[in-house]
Amino acid sequence: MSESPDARATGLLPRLRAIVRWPLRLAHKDGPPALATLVCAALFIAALCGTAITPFSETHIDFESVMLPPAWEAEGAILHPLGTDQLGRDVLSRLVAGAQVSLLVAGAAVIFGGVLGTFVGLIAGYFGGVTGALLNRLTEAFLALPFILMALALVSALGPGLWNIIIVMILTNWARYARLVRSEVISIKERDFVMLARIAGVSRVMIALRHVLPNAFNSVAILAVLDVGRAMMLESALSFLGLGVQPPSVSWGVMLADAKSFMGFAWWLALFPGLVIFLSVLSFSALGDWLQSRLDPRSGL
Amino acid sequence: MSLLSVRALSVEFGPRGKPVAAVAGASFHVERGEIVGVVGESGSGKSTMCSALMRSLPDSARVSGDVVFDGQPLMQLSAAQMQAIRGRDLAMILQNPMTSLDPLFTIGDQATEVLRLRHPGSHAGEKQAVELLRKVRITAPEMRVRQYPHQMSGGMKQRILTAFATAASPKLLIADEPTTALDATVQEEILSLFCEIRDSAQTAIIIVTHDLGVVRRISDRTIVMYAGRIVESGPTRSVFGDPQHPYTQGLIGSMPRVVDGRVELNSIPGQVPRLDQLGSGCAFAERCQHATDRCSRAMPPQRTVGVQHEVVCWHGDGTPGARREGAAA
Repeated sequence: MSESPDARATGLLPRLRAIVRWPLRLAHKDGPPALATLVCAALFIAALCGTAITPFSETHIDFESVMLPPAWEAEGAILHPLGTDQLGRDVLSRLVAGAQVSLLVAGAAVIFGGVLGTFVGLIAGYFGGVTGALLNRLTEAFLALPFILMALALVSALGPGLWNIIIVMILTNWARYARLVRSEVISIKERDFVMLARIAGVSRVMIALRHVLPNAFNSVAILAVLDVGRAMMLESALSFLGLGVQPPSVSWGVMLADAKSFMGFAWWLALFPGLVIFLSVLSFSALGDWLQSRLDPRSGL
Repeated sequence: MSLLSVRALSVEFGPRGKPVAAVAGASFHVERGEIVGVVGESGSGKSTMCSALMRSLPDSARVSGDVVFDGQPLMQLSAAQMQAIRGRDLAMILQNPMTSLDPLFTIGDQATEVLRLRHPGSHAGEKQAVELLRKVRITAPEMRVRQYPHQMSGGMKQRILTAFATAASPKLLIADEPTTALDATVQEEILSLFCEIRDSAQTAIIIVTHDLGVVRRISDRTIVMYAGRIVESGPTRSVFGDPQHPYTQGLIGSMPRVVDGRVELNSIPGQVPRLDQLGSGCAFAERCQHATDRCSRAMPPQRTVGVQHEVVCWHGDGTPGARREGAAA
């Protein structure tokens, strides 16, 4: 079938074709990295649906099928595609449930830590003075503390658990946003349109909220996406150390910790949680890098 | 009474023991509905002086002197009182229109922000924004309000900024090099826009520029600055027709002219001295061909040489011969 160039925009068939092509466009050179997008999308779907889409609950114990290898191995069962652990719990179901915990903790840490840090940075950068200097010292103090050390101290004070780990992550995370936003704000507030708003009689608070903050938003968005991966890894690390999510709740870090003792003969118990952590962190980093190349003109392509 | 009267305005930076005066003892006045041109080379203190009038200098600047605007002592007002005057009675336009609009918001958004600021409580919307743009003769304002700053040319942005600055019919508009970043034809449009604003709202305008052509074309009076000091001021016709200060003569002499079918371009030898290395005498002495010992020893007094025409120079007794010599050199 021949097709004239001007028919392309209106015809039904070409439109359909364009829709079909859409996923492929993800691989376009200016588009987001396709593989990373797919991994992140899969993660979000897994986290949203949770164990509703898996054949087993993450805590379903079955002593009939203990330590089954993945389905493609000789002793594997098709019902347990990624095998089972020492209590006969399905590895795939536990990974999906773990995605929920991981994204919840990482999301909360990034959103609340980001908002807190952004406002601290905005005040420190835009209003300066004694308040700004104090906030800046506070930010630096938080940045100087090693994460694991601070997390250990906080968890021993608050006790382990899902909500406490979220609080710990927020407390250890906000300072990076504060530092970034402060430096952005200091450069934005010297720009002409901010000067002009000032000499046009706009109040400082209005300028900060209406003009300075929106112009700093790009950098915050980039950091936030990069940060999701980092936060997921930290959550896994804390859970691995036993400071995070407590059994019977499951997290990828908990699965890895459990797998330690069986590493010699049940490789699948360690490999799959490790692989999932690795892929998620890598994908969010790749997405963040892409976002940075699109949103931040200074970062040169 | 003058709309704006400035007496002995000084702006100093740096350590108190060894201050650098960006503006030193400037005195002038602006009448209602008058256009005053301020000319001088880069670093002569023109822009600093304007920022001092707006009280928008950084905290590190030390400002002294008396400024009375519309009966109010500007330098003594509280920050809140000053904020109420800024934009409403006293407006300003910056040099670079390309960076003076927030890149994230449409022109319409920014116009409504200005309108709501000027008329608190009113619910200005797109219709009012379109009206505002129409006043400065933006073509197709209905389309423009939905565009972002990066979609417009520099001249159009400067018009928009002029519309924003004059939205509340200010009594005084300070334009800091409003045409420097624009090309010649657009410059002409902006200047006629200024004249219209002056005529329609009796807005006084201080126009700062290093372009003598601009000043000669639109200003009623001209102030010439050199190294932070006002060296000559007077009615534009008189300053251009009968310049008294050797620096003014040099500036006018360095405008391109056509002589015998060829373009002649003169320049003043030397360069502007560093502000932290000024001696006790006339700052122009080093570059002045009339300079004597007395010039570099002592600051010359201000002399009146015509109607409202004042000059700060030991020489310049107005002999036509000396002036022509100066202009031709």
